[in-house]
Amino acid sequence: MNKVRLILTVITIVINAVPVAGVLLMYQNNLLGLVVPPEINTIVNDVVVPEEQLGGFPGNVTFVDSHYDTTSRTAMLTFEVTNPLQFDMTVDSMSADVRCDEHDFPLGHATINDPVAISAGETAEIDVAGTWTQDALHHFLTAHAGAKNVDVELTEISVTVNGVSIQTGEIIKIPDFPVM
Amino acid sequence: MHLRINWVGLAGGVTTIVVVAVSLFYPWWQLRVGDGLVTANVSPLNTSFSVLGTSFTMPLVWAMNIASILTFLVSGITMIIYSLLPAKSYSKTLLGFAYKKPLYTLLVFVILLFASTLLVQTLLHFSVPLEGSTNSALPIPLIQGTTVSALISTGFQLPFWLAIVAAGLCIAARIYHKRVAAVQEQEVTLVVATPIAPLATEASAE
Repeated sequence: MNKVRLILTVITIVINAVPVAGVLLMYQNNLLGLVVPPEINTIVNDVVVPEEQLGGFPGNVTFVDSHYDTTSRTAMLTFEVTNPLQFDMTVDSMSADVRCDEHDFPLGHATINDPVAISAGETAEIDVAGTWTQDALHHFLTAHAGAKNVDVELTEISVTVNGVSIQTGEIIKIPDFPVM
Repeated sequence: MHLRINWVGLAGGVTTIVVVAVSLFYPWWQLRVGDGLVTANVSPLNTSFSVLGTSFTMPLVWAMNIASILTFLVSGITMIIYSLLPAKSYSKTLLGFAYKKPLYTLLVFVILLFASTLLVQTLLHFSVPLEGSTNSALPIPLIQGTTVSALISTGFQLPFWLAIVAAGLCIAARIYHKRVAAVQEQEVTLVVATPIAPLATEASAE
């Protein structure tokens, strides 16, 4: 019975010590590698983009075009968004408040209608729809009488990408936005 | 003397080995951040992580997982051997070795998991539930004035519940052993007593 006990004790020591001793030997010249595998460096180097490269939150967002439908009072903004990550992402939703840049007057709310998939390193176009409020139309008539275009800014921007919500205080300025 | 088997122990041993097989494919506990942005598959037998589509495991954790797999396998096999031969002189030693392993592994796993989530909550100030979903603000130093929040979903998976069953059966086998041993003692008494009866009959005939 003592022999059985001895065998079991030896087995316990061997099955616990051998794997740990094995990796310790394999990583004896790189002990940090025991807890930080090379994949983490890959993620840091390739996947996570440096802030300078990001150029701030709106850095990957370029305003392309806009047009206005008078009957529905809806403005359609087209942005080019670049995915700087080595990972496919889906923009599930995006919303922002639209304000008059000159008077800081609230004009309406902008959202995207459908999710947009952007492959790793690729650029995709996102259409953002915004509807002017009745007050906004009155503001255009009184403060920008006769103007066809107004400088606007997008504030309180909220973007949901792959289930992660990003809310930023950054402001995107859009010059010469068609309002009539 | 007919063959006595500790059926509860046999079930415990087999379940312990099944836990190993299932744990190679499914984690005991899973954490998901966002829509597949970060995934942590945590298990004493097979732990892996996935960040933005890149999967990895830590070599030290991998070695500990291998040790746990071997421990579970040896425990299961020992429990099966004991269960088939519960009357042997060394059977109690086998049982004593085998029945504690799944329970201890389970306890250590739960304690470490609870401590880890508590540590993350204390140090990084975002909550990680042990089971369920929550929308947490992530401590990512991005751009000033920007907040990042994500849906964090966690949950215990099938192998965890199976490990609880295995640990329970192994403990039950230890309790059931007393009954098996008691029956064995009765049989030994009968075997020793049986040869005396014919001798007494022969003596009275003479």
